[in-house]
Amino acid sequence: MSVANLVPLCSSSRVNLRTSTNFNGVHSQFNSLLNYKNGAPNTQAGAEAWCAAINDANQYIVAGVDTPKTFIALSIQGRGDADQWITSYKVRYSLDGINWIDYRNGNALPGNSDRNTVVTHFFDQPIRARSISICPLTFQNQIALRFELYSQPEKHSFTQVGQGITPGDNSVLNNAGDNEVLVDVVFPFEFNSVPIVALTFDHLDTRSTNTQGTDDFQQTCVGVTPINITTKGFKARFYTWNGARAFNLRADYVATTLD
Amino acid sequence: MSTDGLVQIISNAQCYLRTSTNYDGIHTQFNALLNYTNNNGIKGAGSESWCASVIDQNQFIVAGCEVPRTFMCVAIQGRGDDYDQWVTSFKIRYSLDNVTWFEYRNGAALPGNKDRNTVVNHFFDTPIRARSIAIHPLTWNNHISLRCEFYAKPIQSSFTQVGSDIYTGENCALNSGSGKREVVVPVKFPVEFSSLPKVALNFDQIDCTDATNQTRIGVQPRNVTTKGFDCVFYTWNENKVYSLRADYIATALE
Repeated sequence: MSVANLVPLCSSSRVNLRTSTNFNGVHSQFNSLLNYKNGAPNTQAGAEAWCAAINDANQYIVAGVDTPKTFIALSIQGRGDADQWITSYKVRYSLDGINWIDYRNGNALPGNSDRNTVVTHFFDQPIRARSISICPLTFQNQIALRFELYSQPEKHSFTQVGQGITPGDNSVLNNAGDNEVLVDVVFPFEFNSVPIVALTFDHLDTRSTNTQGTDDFQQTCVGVTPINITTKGFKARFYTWNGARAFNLRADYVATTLD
Repeated sequence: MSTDGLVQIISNAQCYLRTSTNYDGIHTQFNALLNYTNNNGIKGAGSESWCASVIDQNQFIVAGCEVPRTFMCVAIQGRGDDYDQWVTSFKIRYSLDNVTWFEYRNGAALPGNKDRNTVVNHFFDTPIRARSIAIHPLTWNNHISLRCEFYAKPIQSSFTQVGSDIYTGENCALNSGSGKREVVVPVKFPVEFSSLPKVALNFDQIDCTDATNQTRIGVQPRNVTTKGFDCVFYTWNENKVYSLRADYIATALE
């Protein structure tokens, strides 16, 4: 299994990080990214790791995002400028921010055994969460780690809705024949890319037609479809055929982009 | 009133925190969470609170969220270690669009702390809908130092996909026979949903014939999964339906 094609959330600055404690101001989550280096120890830029202030089983680093992510894996690594690393840890996570769940019931996961070798753990099932935390259980000398979280690339949807698009009463659609009326629709906000538009009826006032000559054959032929869809709007094409007529029609739309 | 069932925004790392000033690198917003402790005497780890470096009424700590939250309550607490420092009164400011900022209760002072550890909760008169919310200390004991938390309602995030032109085809199986009949068209979502969506499915083209002067047509989703669904077009009685076409909107919440 590989982390290629997954989103490295910490590196991408896509998560907010909070720690239980920091050893001091230069041993904080600012230095916690996988492979973080700053020329230590010949620098005042601090540790090449997050280091806790207290070495007990209550320490953690928690990553939070606003919209749920599908977490696939995490990588953990020791401190780059001293012999300090986590030898085992557990993972906890929450989707709703209220109920927290222990991954694998809180069982210890294998951590590091040196400064720089990266250990990657792929979750048994993808974890769907807004918050996820690494909780060190055992450690070498001092609780210190560098890490990364990997999630599925995601799509974000943006949707706009409009109601009440109509050709009006007694338009050309009220005549027999193949007829159409185009109604311009402008989106409230311009989309960033061309949306897909669902345009469907919410009001029908139609007259069926008899094309077969038999007493009991009355046919309704009516449709609406969006054409010339752009980021700014579209034309709603209302149409009838086969002799059917529409005194009036009305439609609503839902337009969505994914990016 | 209780904070049960509310999301602790700072604790869950659901917001970014920015401060007006920090006393130094170990008196920052990193130590600002309600009940934050670092064993009160491990000097390097700093204060058990955020501490400002400038002591005036221009100091603040602001929490920002990407999606709007419904804030129900703010909790405030003094500094936990070594010094008697706490905020005795404060005001709240907030913004939904991050262009216009509002003063809660017109900027009136809210009661703060009187000691190091007792937590004071303030439940807002009405829920505050905002992306950013800030605590502005107005009066204080010895130094501007505080620990805090914001409580908000849990949120749902929605994800929507739309599809059009699901078609029975011309002269479909509904155009003959009698009684309940259906034509099933499988539909696959462009992107798989992360949780089961609800599907709204509606007509955009109808070509049907009455029977007993009655129009009888319907469309309904069946077997909805995260990957797609079956679009079921149907009629009944003696009606004959030449073709039907529909569009769908599918939305999942979590």
